[in-house]
Amino acid sequence: MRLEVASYLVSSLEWGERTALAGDRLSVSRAEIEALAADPEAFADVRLELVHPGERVRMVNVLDAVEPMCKVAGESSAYPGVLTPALTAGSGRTHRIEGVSVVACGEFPDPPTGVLSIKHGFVDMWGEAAPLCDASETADLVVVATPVAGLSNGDFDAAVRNAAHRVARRLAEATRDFRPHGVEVFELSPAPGLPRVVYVLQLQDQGPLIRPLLYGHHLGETFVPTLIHPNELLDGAVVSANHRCCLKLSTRLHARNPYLLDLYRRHGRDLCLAGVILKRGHYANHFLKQRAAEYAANLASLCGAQGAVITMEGTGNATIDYMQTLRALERRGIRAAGVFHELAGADGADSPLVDSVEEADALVSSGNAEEPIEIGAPDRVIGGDTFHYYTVATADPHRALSVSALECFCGLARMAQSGYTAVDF
Amino acid sequence: MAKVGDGMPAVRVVHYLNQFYGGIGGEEKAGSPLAVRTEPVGPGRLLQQRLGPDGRIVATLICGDNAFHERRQETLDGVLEAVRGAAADVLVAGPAFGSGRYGLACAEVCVQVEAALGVPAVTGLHPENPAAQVQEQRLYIVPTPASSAGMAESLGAMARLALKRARGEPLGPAAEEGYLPRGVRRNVRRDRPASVRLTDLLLAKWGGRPFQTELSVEVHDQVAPAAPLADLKSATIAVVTEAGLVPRGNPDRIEAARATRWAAYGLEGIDDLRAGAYESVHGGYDNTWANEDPDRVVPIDALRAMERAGAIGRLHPEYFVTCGSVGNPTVMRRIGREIAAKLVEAGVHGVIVPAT
Repeated sequence: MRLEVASYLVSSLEWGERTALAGDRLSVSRAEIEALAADPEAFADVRLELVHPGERVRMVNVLDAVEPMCKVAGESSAYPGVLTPALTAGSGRTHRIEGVSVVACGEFPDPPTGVLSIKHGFVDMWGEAAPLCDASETADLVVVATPVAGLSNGDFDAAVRNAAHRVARRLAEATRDFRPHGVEVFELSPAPGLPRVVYVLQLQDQGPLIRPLLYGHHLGETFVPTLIHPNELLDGAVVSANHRCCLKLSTRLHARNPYLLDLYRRHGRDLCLAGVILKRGHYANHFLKQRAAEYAANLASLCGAQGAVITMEGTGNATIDYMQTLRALERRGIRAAGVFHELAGADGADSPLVDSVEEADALVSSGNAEEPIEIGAPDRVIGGDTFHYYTVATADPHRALSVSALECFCGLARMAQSGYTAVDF
Repeated sequence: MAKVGDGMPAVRVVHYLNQFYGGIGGEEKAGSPLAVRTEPVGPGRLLQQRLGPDGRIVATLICGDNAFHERRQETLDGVLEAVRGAAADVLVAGPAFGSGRYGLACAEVCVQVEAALGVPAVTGLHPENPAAQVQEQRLYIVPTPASSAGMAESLGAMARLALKRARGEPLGPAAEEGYLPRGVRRNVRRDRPASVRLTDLLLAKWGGRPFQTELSVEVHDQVAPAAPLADLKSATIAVVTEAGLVPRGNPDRIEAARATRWAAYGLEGIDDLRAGAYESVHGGYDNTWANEDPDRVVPIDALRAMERAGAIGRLHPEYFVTCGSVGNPTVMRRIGREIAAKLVEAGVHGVIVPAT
C-alpha cells in the first residue's frame, strides 16, 4: 500500500469572491461555503468565522477540527465512510492543507446530563492555554451551527460532522491544480534486521456522542481489536464523533497522529513499523477489557511484533483497558511503552493514575492535566456565551478564567505534543 | 537577620542533632533531654563551613534518641520555643543517614517547626530510612548514604537547600535541586514532544539499554473479600454505591467526576425509587436507564421484596452514595473509610455495592 500525501502550506484565510488558493493564502467565498454548510433540516442558522493564531479569540462549544483533505488519485476518498462509501483508503494520492482547520462549534439541542453532560471544549488562539488546545496553531474556518427546534442530539452530531467534512473537502479541492510544498510517500518498505514495532491505538467508545467512527461507523460493545495499515489512519479512516472535549482526539489529530508519524519517520532506520492495531477502551466490564487486551496482544504477535507503542483516547475507566493491554503485550514478550496523562489534582499531590500494572514500567508522562492555568479575557468569543468546565460548572467565556487541560479542546493530546510532563517536586 | 560585612544579612540557622552527633555520648546517653547551645556542635561545624558567610548557626538543639520519643510533646515544645527564641530563618535537622529513631526525630522536628512556626526546615536521610517513606509529610529531605561516611557531601547539599528555602527562592524539581520526591507532581515542558520521547523509550527498552520511566506506577491494593455472612435472615444489609444516584436536584452537590463528597439518603417508608424523584449525576455512564428506573442502579425494590420475604433481616434505613467517575484513589480511599465507619457504628452486617 503506497500513499502520497501532498501538503499545501497555508498560513492565512481571507474572505474573497471565490474559494481559491493563492500562494500561502486561501481565499474563501462566504456565500459558497455558507450554502455548502447549510442543512435546513438540521440547522436553524449557520455562521462562519475566520480566526488566526495569535488573535485574542476564544472559541467555545468546539465539537471538532478537521484538516482539509481530498483524494486526487487512487481508490476511495479522504475520510472514507463519512460522505463517501467505506472503501479501503490509504493508497493513491491525497492532498492536504497544512496549517488550516475547519472547526465546528455548536451547542447540543437536548440539555445533556450525566454521561453526556461534559462535551464542549474551548480553544484559545493566544496565551497560556493555546499550547493545550487543538486548532490553536492553525488558521481556522469556523462553522457555528444552531440546531432547529426538536432535533435530536444524535442528528445534530451527524449534521455537524457532515457539514464540516463538506467544507473541508471543498477547501482541499482548491489545491488541485497547484504544486505542493512537499510530498510525503508512506509505504512500509522491507526493513530487515530492525525491531518490528506495532502501534496500538486505544479509541474511546463510551456510547453515543462519546466515540470515534472507523470508516463511518462506531465501534460498539461487540468490537474486537482490528489491524489496519498505517496509511488508512493517515487518510482519515478514523474520525471524531466524540464530544468529550479534553479527552478526545479531533479528526485532524486522528489523521495526523503524532505517534504514528514518528514511528513512520523512523521506519527503515530505527525500527520496522509492522502495523496499526485499533482497539477500544471503556468496555463495560473486566471480562471484556481483558478479552480485548488479549486480542490486541495476539494480533501484535501475529504481526511478529517485538515492540509496541500504545496510546489512548479518554481517561478514567479506559485506563483499565489500557493497562490490561500493556500487561497482555508484555506477557507475550512484546516490549511495550506508553504515554499517559496524570490526574494529580490542582496541587499535584493526588495519586496520578486511576489504575496501573507492574508491567507499565516505561511510560512517558504528558503532565498533570489538573494543574491550573490562568487565561486572560479575549477580544472576541465564538461559539456561544457559555464556558463549560469539566466538572459541569459554567462560566462567562468573555472573562479571565482559571482552567486546566480538562477544559481544553483535545487538552490531553495537546499536552503531550506540546512537551508537557510532570516531575517530582 | 545577623549582618555579615556589608553584604546580604546572613540566614539564621538552627541545627538539630541527637546525643551521639551532639557529642554527649552513645546509646548509654540516649535518654538525655533536650539541650540548647548557642554555637555549632559536631557536624554543625562542617555545616557552618558549607553555609559560608551566607548563613550562621545561631543555636544547636541536642536531644537523646530515646528521650525524644519518650517525652515527645515536652521535647517538641522545647524545640519550638528554642527555634522561636533564636529568630531562626531555617531549621536544619541531622543528617540522620539510615538511623531509625534519629531519622524519625529529625522528620518530626521539621514537620512541627514548619507547621507551628512557618519556619522552613531541611533534613538529610537515607532514602530507605523509615522517616523518608512518608511522602504526605511534604518534607524537604536531602538523600544521604546509609552511614556517616557521606557527611561532607550531605551537609553541602543540605546547606544549599536550607539557604534557598530560608530566602524563599523558588525551588526546581526534586531531581535538579537534590531532594527526595515529596509526592507532589508539577508540570514542566520538554523540548521534545511525547511522541518522540515515547519511540525513544520503546527502542531503549527493546534494546536492553537503560531507560527511565517518566511516571512510576503505584500498584493498587488488592481487597480480599470478607467471609460470607453466616445468617442472612437476621442480617442488616446496606447499599453503598458510586453510581451517583441522588435525590433530584443533587442537594449535596456531589460532583459528576473527580468527586470529593459522599452523602447518605433516607429509605424509611420507601419501597421503590421512583423516576423523577432521583437522578444520576454520574459522568461516566449513560444515565438514561438509571433515570428511567433508579432501582436499576440502587435496587431498593428488590431489597424490600427480600426483606418482606424474610430473605434478609433488614434493609439499613439509609443508602450511601458518591460518584466514582474518574475517582482519585486517595480520595476514594478516604470516602470508603468514612462510609465504613458509619456502617460499623450502625451495626450493619453486610453491604451491597452495585457496580456501574
